[in-house]
Amino acid sequence: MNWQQVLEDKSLRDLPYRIELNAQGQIIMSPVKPRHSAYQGEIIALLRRLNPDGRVLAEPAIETSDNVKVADVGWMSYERYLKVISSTVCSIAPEICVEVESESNTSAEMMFKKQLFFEKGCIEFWLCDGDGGMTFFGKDGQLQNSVLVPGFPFRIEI
Amino acid sequence: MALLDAEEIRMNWQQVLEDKSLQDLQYKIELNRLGQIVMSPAKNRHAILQGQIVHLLGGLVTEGRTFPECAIDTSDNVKVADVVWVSAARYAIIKAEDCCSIAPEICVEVKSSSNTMEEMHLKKELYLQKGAVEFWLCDEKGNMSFYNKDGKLTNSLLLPGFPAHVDME
Repeated sequence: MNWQQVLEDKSLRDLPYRIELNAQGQIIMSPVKPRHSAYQGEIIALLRRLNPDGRVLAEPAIETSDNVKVADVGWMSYERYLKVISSTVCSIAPEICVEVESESNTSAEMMFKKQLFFEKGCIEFWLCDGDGGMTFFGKDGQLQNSVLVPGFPFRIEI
Repeated sequence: MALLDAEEIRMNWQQVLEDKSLQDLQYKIELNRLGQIVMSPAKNRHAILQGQIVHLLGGLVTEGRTFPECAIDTSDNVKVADVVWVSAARYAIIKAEDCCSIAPEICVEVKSSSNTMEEMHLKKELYLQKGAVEFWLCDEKGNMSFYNKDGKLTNSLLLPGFPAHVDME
């Protein structure tokens, strides 16, 4: 399956799962829980407030070397945004890709996605753990704080 | 979170079974070891071969049960074999289970274009680990290959009469 087929398949709409693809073209679905969504919403609000330039994207689908993966939140410069806005899937990753950890995803999976997003041009990968604790990564490893949005808090309250 | 333990795996499959939004989807549903749902598109060609294998198998066995889409609790979470044959003795164990705690004696996978050979061989290992005696693979053209824990066989030892090719016509 490719992403276009996923988008066209009516039976896949409105499922309470986040949909991605793996390298074999199979659909990978992860359960979405309210707590997870609440963190996503808070991160979007904070990003918009602290970094008004560019665009904040909820659940951007990104074409990676392991097929289409979806980040929980992305922030894109306006320049990148113009490149991807009319396509079915982001051919270039947002500068900031954020993942919220949930029961269904493991650290191994998060680190794998971090690599995939960096390969596609991501500059910072942010991880929000189950208690709202934030960790920031650059290409070369963990950062003390975000360089792109230095004021972003280390803990998010929901 | 580390790998899911057996209890959580069963709970996960239970959740899949209880989720109404997943019923009637045209995909084969399995779980991976991260507890995510893996859905493979179901194609006519695949379903026809599956039906043919159920028919052929059912005609050759004298006991036990032959059926499609059998969920098996493996070390990589729940996988679904396309066709199985299970002896009466094992059937007594699995018939009340949501997913098989022991694999049926014969587990058959029909390969489709969305499956890699690597994936098929992983399933072979998983089913054999869970007690399958033979793993049969049917390729997209209907050619059969037969395996047991010692490797590839020239024909099935459990059912020597099963053809090497399944005809779609």
